[in-house]
Amino acid sequence: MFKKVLNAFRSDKRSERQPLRVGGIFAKMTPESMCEIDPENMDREDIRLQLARLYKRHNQAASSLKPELREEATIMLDAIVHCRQKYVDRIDDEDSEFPAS
Amino acid sequence: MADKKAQYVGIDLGTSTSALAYVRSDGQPEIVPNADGERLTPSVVFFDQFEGVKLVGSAAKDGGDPERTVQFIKKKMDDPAYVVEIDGQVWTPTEISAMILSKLKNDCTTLIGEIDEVVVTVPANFNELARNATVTAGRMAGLNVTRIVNEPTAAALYYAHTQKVDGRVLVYDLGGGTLDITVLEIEHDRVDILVSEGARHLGGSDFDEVLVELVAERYRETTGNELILNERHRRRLLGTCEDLKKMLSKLKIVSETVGNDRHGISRIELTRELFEEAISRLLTRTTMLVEQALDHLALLPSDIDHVVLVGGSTRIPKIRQLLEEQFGKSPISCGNVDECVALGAALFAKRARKVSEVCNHSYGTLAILEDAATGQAVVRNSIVIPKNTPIPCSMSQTYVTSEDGERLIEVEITQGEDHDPKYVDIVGKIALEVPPDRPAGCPVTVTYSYDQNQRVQAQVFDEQSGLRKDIAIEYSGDGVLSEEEIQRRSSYLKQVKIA
Repeated sequence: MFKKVLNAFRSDKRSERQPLRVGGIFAKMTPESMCEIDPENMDREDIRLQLARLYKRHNQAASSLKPELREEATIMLDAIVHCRQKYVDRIDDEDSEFPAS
Repeated sequence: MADKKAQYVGIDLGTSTSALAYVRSDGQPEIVPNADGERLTPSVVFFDQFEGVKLVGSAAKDGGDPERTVQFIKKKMDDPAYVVEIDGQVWTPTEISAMILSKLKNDCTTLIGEIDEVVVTVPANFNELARNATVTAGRMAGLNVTRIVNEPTAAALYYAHTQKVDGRVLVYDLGGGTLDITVLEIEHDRVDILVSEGARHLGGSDFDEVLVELVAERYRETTGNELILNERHRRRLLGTCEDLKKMLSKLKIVSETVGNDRHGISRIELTRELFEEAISRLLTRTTMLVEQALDHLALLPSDIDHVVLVGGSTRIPKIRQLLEEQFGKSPISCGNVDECVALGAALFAKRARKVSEVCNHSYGTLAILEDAATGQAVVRNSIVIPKNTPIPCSMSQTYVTSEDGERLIEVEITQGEDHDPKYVDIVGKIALEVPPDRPAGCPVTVTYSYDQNQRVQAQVFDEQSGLRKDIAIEYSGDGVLSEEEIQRRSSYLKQVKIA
């Protein structure tokens, strides 16, 4: 279905490699929106799978050579764990402080 | 002793402590104590101001100026920009690690004879930069590091050696700085690693930091004042909290007197329950990593025959409880959880050929993936060697050039398994000049080879012209030494007094 084409990065493609700026984009987001979960319309297993997918991505990004990606990963891992405890493990997390919420 | 040589030596270069072991003539591995009589050497270096001595171990940890003390340097081995500056002199994580290795080498040589070749352990999730830095640290310490082995692999080898078990084993290695989850098969004396997943900044020192916050908060509640006023206070409290953490693994309530010279002392009380609650987020990350490892192999917890604990932090009762809930069986301690990695490394030095490991990162290249049906193109990380492929290995992918008249084929080498280019690292680039006036669509094969030490070689081959180019991945940054600097700094380190 897909054709692989070498020499991908012509100059107009380079912007696609730039990581998101951490501070700004997450400043007013909730952990749920950061993790793209909708607790009202997703069941527990769906949420678990979505969080597992994100965990894999950001756990790896936490070891990235790019400092800004490591920073983003730290914030995302906090959000992922927050949602995991709240919607999958059902740990009462009402009193916890989440930096972005 | 001078003409005696030690064979089969393994070193656990740990985040909190390090240890050296060797295989005795009866085939049993044994820890060699350092000159201070300790089996575990704290991975701490103190830069003395007056005599230029570099103290390594307990002497460095127990006293001295925190501004002159370096600890947990292993956490920085994968950061190409990180350096330590003391008295205007810059030190890389590689050099600091070399001092720790020098201390082990010098001290242990007096007991077991000359040490030439060693196996050094690293966390399973160490990237290639950190692995290279570890090998270089060994070189700078005068050691020939013949193999790098993952810590959980070494621990599993020791476990298999001592327990004589067969079956599918999950090694849960929670050390001072990282968590590694490894699933492996043991059959007689053969060990096959099936999957290895790791998490950075998820270890004992992170639990200590949480306790520091907790104790400081308690002090604030009691006295209305801040407990930590400077780095010296923080370092001292960190040591106290490490002790409190260990006590909380055995007691349900502990109390400690803490304070500073400005606001006085206060006695605070901590419960195990409060500690467990404070670290619950870190613990959830550990659970998710276990699930990730099992998901990769499409295994259920019930498919695991033995859950083996490695690393000092597995003494925390909550961790055992969580694993017991997850697997429905009690985890088993890998003997002495602090020493089994070094002991396993020594065994690995002798029996490496009986162990099959996997690569710990995916390697690929950036490519435009074109949907043949819609014509839509998107840039993706195209993986050539997937993570957890048995090593050594060599794998290829063939691509085609995208434009007419391309003279320079540039292949960017990626490290990481995410298909989104944003989430992978570019760790190298090959530029191959090809003949002019060619149409788009010329086939080009990219081959990666992964050796036993998890080192990567890349090759690009233009099929039409027969031209090819090879590179080994190299990193740059303030914290990365060039070959010339390694030579120069090695000579300098030989003159430094390390005690």
